[in-house]
Amino acid sequence: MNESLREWFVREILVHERALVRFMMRVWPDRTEIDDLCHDTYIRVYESAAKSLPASPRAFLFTTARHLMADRVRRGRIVSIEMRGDLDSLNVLIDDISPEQQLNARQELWRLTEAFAALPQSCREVMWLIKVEELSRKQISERLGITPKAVEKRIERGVQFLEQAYFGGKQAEVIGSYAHGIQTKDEPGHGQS
Amino acid sequence: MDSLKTIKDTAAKWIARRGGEDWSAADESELNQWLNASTGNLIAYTRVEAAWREADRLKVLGAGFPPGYVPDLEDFRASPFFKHVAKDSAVMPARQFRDEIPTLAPRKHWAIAASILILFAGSFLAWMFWPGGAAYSTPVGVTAAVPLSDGSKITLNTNSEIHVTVNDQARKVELERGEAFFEVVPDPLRPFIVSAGNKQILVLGTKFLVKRDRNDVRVVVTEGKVTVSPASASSSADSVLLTAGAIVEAKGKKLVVRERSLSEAEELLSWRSGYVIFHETSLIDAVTEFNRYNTRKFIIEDPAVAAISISGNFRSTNVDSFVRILEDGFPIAVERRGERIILTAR
Repeated sequence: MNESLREWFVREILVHERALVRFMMRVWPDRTEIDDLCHDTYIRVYESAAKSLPASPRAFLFTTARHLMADRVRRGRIVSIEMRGDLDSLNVLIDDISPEQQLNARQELWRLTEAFAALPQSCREVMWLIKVEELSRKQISERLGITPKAVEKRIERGVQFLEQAYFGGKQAEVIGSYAHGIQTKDEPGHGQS
Repeated sequence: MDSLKTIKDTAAKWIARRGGEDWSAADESELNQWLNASTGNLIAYTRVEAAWREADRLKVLGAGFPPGYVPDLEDFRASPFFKHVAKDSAVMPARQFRDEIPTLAPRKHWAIAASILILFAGSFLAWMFWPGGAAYSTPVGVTAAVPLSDGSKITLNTNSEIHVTVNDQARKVELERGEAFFEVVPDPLRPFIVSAGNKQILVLGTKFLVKRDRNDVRVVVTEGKVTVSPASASSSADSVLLTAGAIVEAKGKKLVVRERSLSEAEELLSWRSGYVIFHETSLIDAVTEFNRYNTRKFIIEDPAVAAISISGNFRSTNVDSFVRILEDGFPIAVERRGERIILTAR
């Protein structure tokens, strides 16, 4: 595993996910496909970067996304009359994208806090005990009176929520929940373990 | 091929399992197999792993709540820790990074105190207990990120080592060797202090880079403010305030401050992306920098070769590619002897 490439990917590519999704939503009518589009874009960007790092990661990311969408239209994956903007206008849109807000460390922390506070109660408990109180799985399982398997399941869901919130932001949460059936924070937790 | 949902669920399952006490070598091997099976798997895993590591910063939120109590959003809002944060991040304006020339305090010569910032990293990071705290180090050619329990974050460059002590009273980092980039969360109750040998830097909540080479220390500020004062400062009037774009070099008792544009200062962070950048740099300086990242070392004994000027962006760990460029573009002969690469005039 190429660790420094992965670190680069997290820092220079994933950081733009919110803007990328907004960009895609402006021209791609089928919202359930956006997660797939995003993922495929990432694959292309990563494989290309493995050969040669792009000088401008953000521009490269958006250009790759645009090519991918154009490909899909050409292959008839989507009915073009539904598209709100045609593909040529995507060129303009790329230049039009407002620069990412640069958050200072404390604002980043607040964003993380919001994401954490939005977790369903059962996941939040477990994530807190692991990350803040640093208990072992066994200790958590004893403390909460659930099986270690159940603890693992809650971590699994908890980290997926944090991932969506951290990289995707609110809009991506909605898309994510639509496409993948993950509950949004507005839905009551159903106590699944 | 698996659906995206399946891939993401599997990645999350792996992350959840990996921290468990019963993780075995067979599990590790199975995970690697899955990761190598497709780039899509690797990406899904990278994404969820990054979120998992970011969550380490939650530790700082634990202070102020009794053990066993899991706070909710209202508890956090009420916390003085977030008093001055713009809760709606949409309010913050975008930043321009070109051609910012900051104004600096008048230059003086100081004995410099070096600050240390510690960053937190993944699997390559060596971690061990150290009296009063924890130590982290990276081998040659590896960079790693370390989140701190106060919400700050440190990125270690090649062949570096830090010792961290963060508790209720203080946040201290000792840069034993190498280079680290710090992103510090301000905390009025706990000053952040970085030290390198006999030097000390006080951080006011900012992003900056510290490099130590024995007793020579360099500090580059890329955001916020850093105060540099002599270790024996008797009053704050002796302090030098540095803002984004400032580069401070301390050699012995001399302190030299240079002003640069922010984009130039940020070039010094290029190692985070695996690059080194040279601007009409002498070849001897260039290979000295290269040698930090590689176990195969360049050696130059010919002064004519040492003085050759080189510019460009180079992958810090791609020695062979750099050698090819030297052979193709310059009158340089290359001889390889084991771990040494000797450059002579052609």
